[in-house]
Formats: sequence, structure tokens, C-alpha cells
Amino acid sequence: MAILSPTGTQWLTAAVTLSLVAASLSFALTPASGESLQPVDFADTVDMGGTGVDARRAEAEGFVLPRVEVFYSGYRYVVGYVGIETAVGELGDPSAQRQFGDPLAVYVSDLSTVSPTLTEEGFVTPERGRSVGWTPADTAFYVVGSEAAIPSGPVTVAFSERADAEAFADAHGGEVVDWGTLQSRVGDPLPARLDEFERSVEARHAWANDTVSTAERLRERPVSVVVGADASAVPDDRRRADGVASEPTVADAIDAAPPDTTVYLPAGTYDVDEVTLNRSITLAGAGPETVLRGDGNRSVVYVRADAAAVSDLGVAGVGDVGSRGRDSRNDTTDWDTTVQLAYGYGDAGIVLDGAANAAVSNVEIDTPASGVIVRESPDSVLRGLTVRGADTAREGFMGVVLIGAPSAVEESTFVGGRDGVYTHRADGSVVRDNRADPGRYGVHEMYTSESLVANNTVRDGQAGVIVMTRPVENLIVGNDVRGNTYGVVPAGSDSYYARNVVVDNEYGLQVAATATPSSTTSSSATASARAQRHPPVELGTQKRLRGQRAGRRIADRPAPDVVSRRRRQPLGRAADRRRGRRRRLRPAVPADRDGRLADRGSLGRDDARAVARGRDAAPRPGRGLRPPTVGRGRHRRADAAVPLRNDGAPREREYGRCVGVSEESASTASPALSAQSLAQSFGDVDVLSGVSLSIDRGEVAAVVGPNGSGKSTLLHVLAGIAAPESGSVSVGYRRGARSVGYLPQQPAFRAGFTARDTLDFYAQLLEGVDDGDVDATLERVGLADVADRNVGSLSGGMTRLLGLGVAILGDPSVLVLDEPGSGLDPAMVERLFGVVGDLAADGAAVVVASHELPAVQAHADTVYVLDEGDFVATGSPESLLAETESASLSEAFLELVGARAGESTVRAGIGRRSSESDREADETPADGDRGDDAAAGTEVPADE
Amino acid sequence: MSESDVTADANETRRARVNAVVQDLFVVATRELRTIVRTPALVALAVAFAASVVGVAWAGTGGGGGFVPLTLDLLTFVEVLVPLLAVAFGYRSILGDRQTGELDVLRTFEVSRFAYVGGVYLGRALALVSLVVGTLLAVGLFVPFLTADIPTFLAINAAADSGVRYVRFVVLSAAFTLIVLAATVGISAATRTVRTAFALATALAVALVLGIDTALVAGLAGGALAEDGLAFLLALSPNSAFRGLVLSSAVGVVGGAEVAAGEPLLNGVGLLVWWLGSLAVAVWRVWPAVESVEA
Repeated sequence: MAILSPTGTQWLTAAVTLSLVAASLSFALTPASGESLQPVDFADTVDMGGTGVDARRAEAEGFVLPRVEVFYSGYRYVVGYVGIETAVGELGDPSAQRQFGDPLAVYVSDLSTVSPTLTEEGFVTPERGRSVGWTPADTAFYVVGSEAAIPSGPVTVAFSERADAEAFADAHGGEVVDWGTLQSRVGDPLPARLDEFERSVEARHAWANDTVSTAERLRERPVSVVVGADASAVPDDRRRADGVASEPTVADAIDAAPPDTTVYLPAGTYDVDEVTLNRSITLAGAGPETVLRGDGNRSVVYVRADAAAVSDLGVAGVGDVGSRGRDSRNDTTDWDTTVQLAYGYGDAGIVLDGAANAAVSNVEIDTPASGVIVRESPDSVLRGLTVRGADTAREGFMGVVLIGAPSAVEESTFVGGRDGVYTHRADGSVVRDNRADPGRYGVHEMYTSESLVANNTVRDGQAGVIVMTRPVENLIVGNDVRGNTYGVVPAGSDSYYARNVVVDNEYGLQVAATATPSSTTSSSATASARAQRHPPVELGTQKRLRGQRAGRRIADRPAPDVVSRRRRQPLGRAADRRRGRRRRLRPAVPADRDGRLADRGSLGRDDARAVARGRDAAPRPGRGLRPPTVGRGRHRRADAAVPLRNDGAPREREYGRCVGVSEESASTASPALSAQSLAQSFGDVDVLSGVSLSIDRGEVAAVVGPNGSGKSTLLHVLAGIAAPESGSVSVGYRRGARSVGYLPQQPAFRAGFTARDTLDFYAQLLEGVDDGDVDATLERVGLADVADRNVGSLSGGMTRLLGLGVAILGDPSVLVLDEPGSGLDPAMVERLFGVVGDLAADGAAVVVASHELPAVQAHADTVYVLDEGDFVATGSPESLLAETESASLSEAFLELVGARAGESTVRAGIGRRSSESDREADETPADGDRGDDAAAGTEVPADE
Repeated sequence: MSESDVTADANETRRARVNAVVQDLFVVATRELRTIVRTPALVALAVAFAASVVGVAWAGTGGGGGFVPLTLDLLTFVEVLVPLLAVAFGYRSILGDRQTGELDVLRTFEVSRFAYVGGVYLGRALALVSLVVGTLLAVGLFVPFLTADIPTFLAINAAADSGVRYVRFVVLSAAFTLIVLAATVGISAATRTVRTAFALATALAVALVLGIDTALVAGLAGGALAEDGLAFLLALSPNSAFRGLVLSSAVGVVGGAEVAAGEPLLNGVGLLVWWLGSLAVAVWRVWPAVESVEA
């Protein structure tokens, strides 16, 4: 696994990093360079502008529409605009960029490829047979403000050659500008457009007001003829003509009436076949009490004269044929005629046919088909109508049908039937202040541009206001639309939807409609489930797209499909108990034994011993009993408190090697490890109460003590892996690759690694330690035979040995071993301590915490007896035995730490207990039983 | 010794120290890589992840629909699976060493906190990022092979569905992986028991995948949060920041509608803060600073 080496990892890191850096360059690249994006057939673009009228006429008459193709970074298809201004406006609009991404390539129609001439209307026509090419927009020259136009208005034209542009400007006026200038001239069009729309709303209301007031005058025509009664039947508030005639029938009366007068029908029902107003007169009744009743087979009243009017009456007996178009549809293939026939020639209460300025007001119509059909009657007014249609949309037809000319429809009520107001090519019509409870749609506009649909109330239909086909400049404002399946369904372009209240509809505003920008602002919309009216929601400028042909719907873009599925061991010993035991101990170690208790704060350094252990193999330090201290921070080992061995000779260890410390860098005068006044507490429990110790090279120091005495904490501090609250630790010399080696209480290693892998890993962290050292270490701890076994399969003892191997890697100056022998069989313990002794013989200072007192007695040079965070005795095993008059260290231990030791974990047949009992043991009186636990258990619990 | 010599010496020492840290870092990283390779559960998870990504790309519209559809197919998937993977790869990384006691042992090898945390993070990150990036790039290759010619009346804009966009998605996914892994390693360093670590790591994953977004939606719906600050709020969660960056730079546009993708810069800053913050927490909490024991 060569790659799984530090070098391999470096290479892998480099490779991954480089790959990611290289891949990050994708943020600097545009997804495709503009050069690779070539113009396409305009018919294959998603058309974003231009009116159907422009397109049809351009195709029919062969003039040029200046077009633009834009390749956006975020849109799968190519977007086509008719009108350079439109495209420039769109390109400058931040919302377009959010929508489509950045424009990567822009092409404009290049008139340099043709020799343009202008028609009378300003349409640009190319030379016969030549087609207009494309040129990149940023290098083209533009002629603005010339005579060039398309049906919907003047246009900017583009040339790839400046000379052509200048020639065109000379011939047809205008100014030649470049792309940048052109862009700077087209600012954010929205606010101005909104103002313009509002002005249009006012203008159309004004037109309707004028038209209505003209029509109202028709109601004031003097009465010249009364039907079926004499002049006395004419109400007093009506003007009368000179000489009011009386005629028996409506038809007679109409025939008899002079122009510009009124035929009056007193209250009553008049059965008629068909009434035709073919002169400019007014047919007026007394109100709903006057009813014209047809024969139920056709329309009832025809108005065929300009400025004719019908008012103040009711109409009934209307035929039930909504549409007669089907009968004559075969005669023509012209769609316009077809629609007119279908919608304009059904039965109706009143039909206005070619009657300019005609009016129908205050008329109630009960009809199974249409109420009023208006065909080609410009400036006609329908006002104050009440049309009660059929029960269902299927049976009925339209309240009002407007075809082919502008009319005003206001203050009328439409109940039932199919649509309230239906318009077909009724450009410029105003539909306002009406109320509809339609079977289908409230206001339904087809092929109708420039209309105003204002302040209408629609309830409970299939749609409130619905605009279809691709009209332009419709204004849909102030309508109150509730309870419909669809509230407002917009379509077309250059249209304005504002201030509409759209509440409680299943779909408030259907946004799936049109090309080119329309403005939809401040329409109140809310989900149908919500009962209350919500504050207006600013919808901003909505951009909608729809392809022109079947199969070109935006739905086949990929994105929408995807998106839609869119504590601490309580050492709670009473302080007085501690003091009590100390008091008891004190006489055992007389302070004046050497007569030289250390001064407070001085370093407990044994100069004599240090000198004695010089590199010339001076005599080993002797083993002597060191005095304990009383109270925290008070214990200091006396200088020279430890006498040399009596014989003064180099001390031989039991395993028999002369020890000398050689070639070390540090001064031989300093101890290998010294700790001063180490204090550590957890909460209010003192774990270490200011302990100090000093260990020399080659010395094996054992820390013994009952569970919870602070051994592990002390070792952590000595190993440098925990910081004491106060006090300091110093390692006095350095002999190998590191200062301290540490064996934790229960070492464990990463599963999946072999013993060798494990050592290899640690060896790699040390400078100058190589595979040979790893092999040597394996050999030394006796794991050479199992070096390639997975650590998971090693026994507890082997794992401990591996931990020891890790601890001794790199020849640390100090070895800190926490319970190395716990849980091991006696042979293994002996072996382990043997290794420890070897290491000390090699010059390491060894601190070992252990409960294996026989092994400690055999191998340790110095024993520190720790209890409740403080050393209660220090000295060589022999001195401890002598002092306590014990036969073994175990006995001495019990003597020193009291009976509690018996409740603690003391190995080697003295006694031990499980850690669960430790707390209990803590509470046990100092003179508690020791023998009871002597034979208990085999496992050494964790110290802390 | 002149002053410049002193300075040169100090520089030398500093350089040596930096070199040692870097060396240790790679040693630790190598151990992490080995651990991952030798942990069957992690290998199985990696295989499952790769298989799932391939499955999504194969079965969804993505692989056959172009790079952007593939990105959108995989986006949610990455958002959910990467935090889970990162938790699996990271939550025991440092905690494991702490529990075996190896962390204490390592410290006696005079390994700096930067080297150790950096090594653990690097090793795990190499494995995880290689897995995520490799898998995503591999399924990216599906696109040219699986995309059929779509019959359409419209001219296709070659720039809109470019592989460059997909590469951006992969890079962002790698960054997202690094950030979520950093958070998990931070948790692993800061906790002391498996239970705590597991609970925190799970909470992190749930918060990332569900919690923060849900809280945002609830806050906005309930009016507790202002819509004005949405861009900031979106940048707070690595998931929404990542999603925002993918939508704004790798997808570009969705369905012709504006997307609440937040502010790319804020999102980037949000992710950076998560990354550096998590690693800083890991370095700070892995072990207490202890003064050198050497005299």
C-alpha cells in the first residue's frame, strides 16, 4: 500500500487540491464562448416580442422586422426579439438576467446585407430576393429616430457597416449610434411604462365617459309616438314632441316616429316577432314593467341605425340558439368570419348591428342565449343592463358579445349563462363597473387589444377576467374577482394588470401565458383557501413566455420539470480524617530524621545524589525514607535526605546491570524529571495537594496508592498531557527523539492496524526513528513474533506490551507508565517490569504507577506512597520496609495508608476490591477491616 | 552573533517547526486514510453512496437530460447524503483516539494540535472528497452518453447546458463536503463520549438537512423572520448556502422564475465561517494547551 504512506498522502493531497483548483476555473469560464454560438433561424427561437399583427403583415407584405437573437447563459433555447429597442430594454433589465442568466451572444438583423428602401408607411423592404442576415450586436451601427417603422411604431435599424448606416440616416433621417450608446439610451422602462399605463387608464375612462354621456342624451329624445295608448300615457318627466301620435304596434310606432325622437312603450307586455330600429330613434319603456316579448325563436330587437337607442324596458322571449355559426361555417375558411358567425349571430335580446353611437340602457333581458350582441357598432354604449341567462354555461351564451368595434359596457349585471362580457376584436372597448355571476367567465376577451376592463365584480365563475390570444395594451384594473376557479388569466403583451382584488379563487393569477412584457402590479392575490382579504402583493413585472407554435411551449424546457418536484470521582474524604491519618503517620516518619526538612519553596534536589550519579558511574543513589509533609504544599523533600548506600558502590539492580547515564546533553546536575508543588482539584476536591518529586536518570520511581489517591492525575501531569492548576514539571535532559513516553492505563489501538503498523505510525512522528527502530522495539517488548497480527487479536498483555513499545519509541528521557501490569498474569508482569528495568538501565527515568507491590518492591528504586493527593511516604522499598517494620511492601503499604488500603486495590495477595466499592471504601472508617477483601477479585480497576 | 544571524536562526527554527508540523500532519492523515480503507463499514457506505448517485443519475431525468437537469437531480441528494456521510466519516475520528487513550499517547510524541486535527481532517477529507467528486464526475459522464437528441422545433442554446456548469456543481459539492466534515470533526474533538458525539452529530445532520430550512420556512410563514433578511438567513445554514450557490452559479435559472438563492457572496462567507469555525473549535477543544514540559 504504497499510497498509504505520508509521501503517498502528500501526492494524493496535491492531486486532489490541483483537481479542485483546476475545476474551480469553471467559475471563471463562461459556459460556452460567444464565438461558438451562431445565429439560428429566427423561427426556431423562443419569440419574446412583437405583435401578431406585425408578424403577419411583415410576412404578407414582405417588409423587414428588425430582430434580435440572444443566447443567454441560463436558458436552453435561443431567445428572439422583434424590435431592437425591445431587446436592448430586456438586456438592460436585471430581472431578465436573473431569469435567463448572462447574455453570451447577441445578434441583430443586419440591413447591410440588403439595400433597404422604405415604403410610404416607413416599412423597410429589402431588395427582391435577398434575405436579411445577422451581425453581432456589439459591432453593429444603429440608426435611431429615422422614418423606419413597423406597424406598431418606429424602429431602430442595424447595419454591420457604418457607411450603410450613415447612408440610411442621410436618406431617411435619424442618428447613427453604436451598441453602447444605444444601450445607454434605453433605461429601465418600467416606471415610465407604469405611468403611461395609468394615463391610458384615465384616457380610456375619459373616452367611455364621453361616449356614455353622448348616449345618455339619446334617452332624452322627445316622445313622438306612444304604443297602444295616447299621449297621456307618457310620464310627465319625459319630454314630448309636438303632437304625440299613438300607434297600435311597436313596428308601426317605429315606422311612424320621426328621427331623433322616442317611441314610448307604456308598462305592459308587447308580443313581437322581431323589432328593428333602422332609424336614429329611441325605443323606451316605463321600466322593467314594459316587456318586449319575442316569439322564442330568434333575437327580439335589432338596432341597425347609428345613434339608435333602446332603454328602460325588459326583453323576453329570446330564441335559445347561442351560436348559429356552425350552419354557415362551411362557407368560409376565414377564421375571423368563423368566429364572428359563431359568436355574433346567435339569438339575443338585442342585437346592435352596424349601429355606431347606439345605446342600450336600463334594459332587463331574460335569455336562454345571449343578452346583447354588438356587431361592428363603434362607440356604442350598453349601460345598466340586467341579463339573466340560462342556468348552465352549456345551455346559455354570453351576456354581452362585442364584435369588431369599441363599445362601452358599464354598470350592468350578468347572471348565469356562459360569459358575462365576451369580446372579439372589439379593440378599444371599455368594460367597467359591471357585476357578473357567470356560468363560465366574467369578462372574456378574444383578439381584443387596447381594452379597459375596470372595477368589475365577478363571483363564482370558472374565471373572473380571462384574456386570450395575443392581444396588446389591455388594461385590467381594479376588478374584484372572488370565488372563481381562476381569478385573473392574463395574456398578450404591453398590458397592465393592476389593483385587482383576487381572493378566494382556486388559482388567483395564472401565470402561464404570454410573450413580451406586461406589467402586473399591485393586484391582490391570495390562495383560494384563505378567507380574508390580503394586503396587495407587489408582483412586479412578470415575464411570461410561450412559444408561438404547438410544441414550442416553454414546458419542454428542462428546468421546470425538475423544480416542480420541487463529575468527577468524588474524593469526598473529610479533611479532618485526612488530617487525623496524617497525624497518625507523622511519628512513623520523623521529621527530624535527617534533621533537614526542606525550606518551603525550594527545589527538592538531591545534589549529593546527582553528583554521585555522574557519567563516571558514580555510586547510585541510595534508598532512604523521605519525610512526608503535612498539609498541602508543605511537603518538600529534604536536600540530601536520601543517603547514599552505605557501601557507596554502584547500585546493581536485581536484574543486574550497572547503570550509567552517558552522553546526555543536559547538565548532570539536574534531575531527569522534577515536579514542584503540583496541585490539581476537581471542583472542591483536591486531587493533588501540592506534591513535588524528583527522579533521576536510570531511576525507577513507583507511585503507589489506593484507588482514587490521584496517581493517574499525577502521571498525566508528569507526562505533560494535563496542566496542573499550580506547580510545574520539568524534564531535565533529552536523550532521544522526545522527552516523555507514556503508557496509559488501558492502552488500545486502532482496529485494522497490525502491531507493526501501529509502531510505524508513531515512529513516523519522530525524527530519526526508522523501521529498524521499530523492529528493535518489537523485539524489545517481545512482540516480534506477532508484529503482523491485527491489534484487535492481541491479548490484553500483548496490547499492554505494544503500548509499552509505543511509549519507549524514540528513547524518551522520561517514561511514565500508568498501571503497566494491571490485569496481567504474574509472568507477564515480571516480563514487563523487566523491560522497564532495562529501559532505566539505558538511562531513562521511569515513573510507574502500580498496584503490583511485589514487582514494585523488586524493581523500583524509589517508592512514592500517594494518598489523597499527597505523598504520605517516600523512599526506597527497603527503607519503607524498615520504617514500617514490615516484611513486604504490601504490608508497609497497608501500614502507611491504613486500613483503607485493604479496601482498595492492592495486588499480590494483600487485598483488593472492585472500583464500584471505592466510593464505599472512601466512607469506611480508617480502621476498617483489611482482611475481608484480601482474596477478592482478579482485576485491577481504573485508578481514577 | 550578529543580529541578522539571530534573526536567521529564528527563521530557521520557525521553518523547522513548520516543517515538523506539516510532516506530522501528513503522517496523521495517512493513518486516517488507512483507517478508512480498513473500516469495512465506511467502505460499504462509500460504495452505497456511489451506487445511489449512479442510480439517481441513471434513473432520473438527469443523466439523459443534460447537465443542468442532472445537477438538479443530484442537488437534494447531495444535500442529504453528504452530511450523513460526513457524520459517518467524522464523528468518531478524534473521539476514537480520545477513548482508546491514543490521544494522550500522541501528545507525548509532541504532535501539535494543528498537525493532529489538520491530519485527521485532511485524511478523512481526502477520502470523502475523492469519493464525492469522483462519483459526481463519473455520473457527469453519463450526460454525453445518455442524452438523446431531443426532438424540438427550437434551436438549442449550446451554452445553457454546458459541462462547465456541472463542474461548478462538483466543486461546490466538494466545498460543501469539506465544510460539513469540518463541523463533524469539530464535534468529534469537542465531545468526550460516544453518546454525546453521536447525538450532536446526528443533531447536526438533521439540522442541516431539515431543521434550519424548516425553521426558516416556519419563521417566514409565521412572520417571526423578516423577508428582507432572507439572504442572510439563507447564508447561515451550510445547506441553504450551498444550494444557493449551486442554483446561482451551476444552474443559473430555474423554470424561468426567480429563485430565492440568496446572495452568492453571503453564501460564500457563510460557508467559510462554518469551515474555519468548525476547524478552530476542533483545534481549540482537542486538548488543552499545556506548556512544554521541557526545561
